[in-house]
Amino acid sequence: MAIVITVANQKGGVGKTTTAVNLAAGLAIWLQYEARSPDRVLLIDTDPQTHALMAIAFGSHLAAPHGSLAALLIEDPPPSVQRMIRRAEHHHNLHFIPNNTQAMTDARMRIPSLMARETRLARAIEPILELYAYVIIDTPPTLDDLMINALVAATHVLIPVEPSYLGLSGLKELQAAIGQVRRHLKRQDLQILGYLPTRCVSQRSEVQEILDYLNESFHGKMLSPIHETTDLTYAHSAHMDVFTYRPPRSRQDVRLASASRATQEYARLVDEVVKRTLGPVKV
Amino acid sequence: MSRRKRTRYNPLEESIPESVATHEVDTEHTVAAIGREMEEAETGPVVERIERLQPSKMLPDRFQPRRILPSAIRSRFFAGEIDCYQAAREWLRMAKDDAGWRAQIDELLAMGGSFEEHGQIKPITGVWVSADDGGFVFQIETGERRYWAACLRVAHEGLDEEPLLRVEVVKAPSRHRQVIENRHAQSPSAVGQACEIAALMLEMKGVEPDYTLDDEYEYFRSALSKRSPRGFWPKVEPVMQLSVRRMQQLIDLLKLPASLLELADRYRVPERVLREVLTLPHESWEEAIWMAIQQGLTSDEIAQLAEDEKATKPRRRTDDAIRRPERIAFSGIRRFARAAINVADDKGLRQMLDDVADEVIVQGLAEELLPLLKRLAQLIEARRSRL
Repeated sequence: MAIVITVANQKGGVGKTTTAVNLAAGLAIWLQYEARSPDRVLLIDTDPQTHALMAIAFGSHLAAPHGSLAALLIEDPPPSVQRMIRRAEHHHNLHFIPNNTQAMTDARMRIPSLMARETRLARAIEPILELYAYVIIDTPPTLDDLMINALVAATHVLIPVEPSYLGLSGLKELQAAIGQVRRHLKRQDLQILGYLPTRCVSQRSEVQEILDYLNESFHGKMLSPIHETTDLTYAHSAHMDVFTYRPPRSRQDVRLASASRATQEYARLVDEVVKRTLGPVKV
Repeated sequence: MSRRKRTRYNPLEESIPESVATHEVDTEHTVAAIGREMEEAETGPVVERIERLQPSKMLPDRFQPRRILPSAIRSRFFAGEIDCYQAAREWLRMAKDDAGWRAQIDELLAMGGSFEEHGQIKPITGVWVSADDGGFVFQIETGERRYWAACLRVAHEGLDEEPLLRVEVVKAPSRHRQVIENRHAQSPSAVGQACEIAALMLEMKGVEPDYTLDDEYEYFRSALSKRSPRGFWPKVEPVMQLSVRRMQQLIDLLKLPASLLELADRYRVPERVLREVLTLPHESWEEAIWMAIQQGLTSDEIAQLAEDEKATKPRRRTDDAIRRPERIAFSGIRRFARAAINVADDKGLRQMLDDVADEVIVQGLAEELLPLLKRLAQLIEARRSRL
């Protein structure tokens, strides 16, 4: 059964999409080269902007409304999810569900009036969970029904946090929402995988102070920080994940990371996520 | 003073209009109807989702008891070496030289044509399974004929665009449903029925198909070496609509090798004939089946062959005797007469003759056949008048 990781934070611009894309791609490469497993990774983008999908499959990331994620959320009964799934451009074992910006915007307005509105995504992907090792869900920067659907469908939540005072401000609401999902939607098993400091700029004095505060508050739940680098921005502009944008010289030595700091930090994130979800893995 | 029985005053009796007061309410049905409404409200009305898929996103079930695709194409198709349209084109080429395949192709092309005119009435059912390329493919449970009808139409007419077929995803595919559906379309051949019985038995025993097998008949044949599960025969009797003895006779046909099973299936050789073939030595099976196909030998004639084998009469003489043109023609006339005599009523006979006439026209035999039938009728009449 797949490990479903929702990347969530209702504050915009903290690196949710960047993290979702690079984590999904990193896990796909890890499965293929390090674990040597035929297993696959699925990326779901619940943000109507579809930025995550653009990074892994630009040109084939959109679909007609009836063939998009929006149809899975609002149609009753939903169409077969299997017919929608497509393969990412750069990794044969990374799949995604295409989306439609307008349809997703409409779905966001319609979902509140639908029965069982919080569980529609979970039920739509349930038939395929056995066929994937990981499902990564990117979310929009609002605490709405789309985000709730992503939390209900998840087994783990990964929370990117920008180490700034504003970056901390929305955490409490998100934690409350996770608590409510556990209590009211009977998802006691929903875990916080970790808090991921993102867009770290070492030169800023407050960053270390906030990182220390986060370490103290969420001891054992902190993940290694991701620094702001141009590689991440340029990779996204080039419609690639950072591992494809800055690959190592050869994958033969079974390494995710290259000389690029971004690849090293996201490779470390992949390693931490694998350990926290699968335990120590013998390769 | 005598006591009078006091009746309690009920003001409601006065206010209820007579028509209502005298109306007897069928409480039992009312309660049942309310119960049904509540149940439906609780479970929700059954809503099926029909989707549309291209044939290239679908795959037939290799172990469907009724085989449709010829063996010569099957292995390459299921190995992914050719797609459904390439398979259809090869099948069309094969049918040019083989009457058995031609009849089947014509039927499927007619079905494909009716989709164009009337639409596809019944959806194809199936489930999504993982494909070899890491994606998903819709594996067909019932409706493989509709699938091939669409593919053959594309190949035959050289269409550029793929058709969209109506499909319904089922929760769990079932051999029972396949067998029932096979009956709706066209009753299977004897070999098809043998495979159905074997498939039902293996399903009941929980024996899954082995997809590494090259020969699918091997899977069905494995039922011969297994004891039928408890309660099997009574359970499949209503599905197969055959007696237990008949089913046991049919399943025995799976002793034939795959090539002969396919041959017998293609030409719909009756069970009685195949049963007699099985009494012959192994090396005679193929010839006997071909003779049954080409010369219309009956089970009695095959049994005669078996007797001749035992009596060690020279085979050549027997073969020559059976192969004479008058014997071949008479066999055909006798089978026609028996088929007509066995039809229960006049309406059925009319229908049968209509169908035969249609077939003669479709096969282009009318020009040659009519004068021959007229001459034969005259000869028979002449002999009858001399008796």
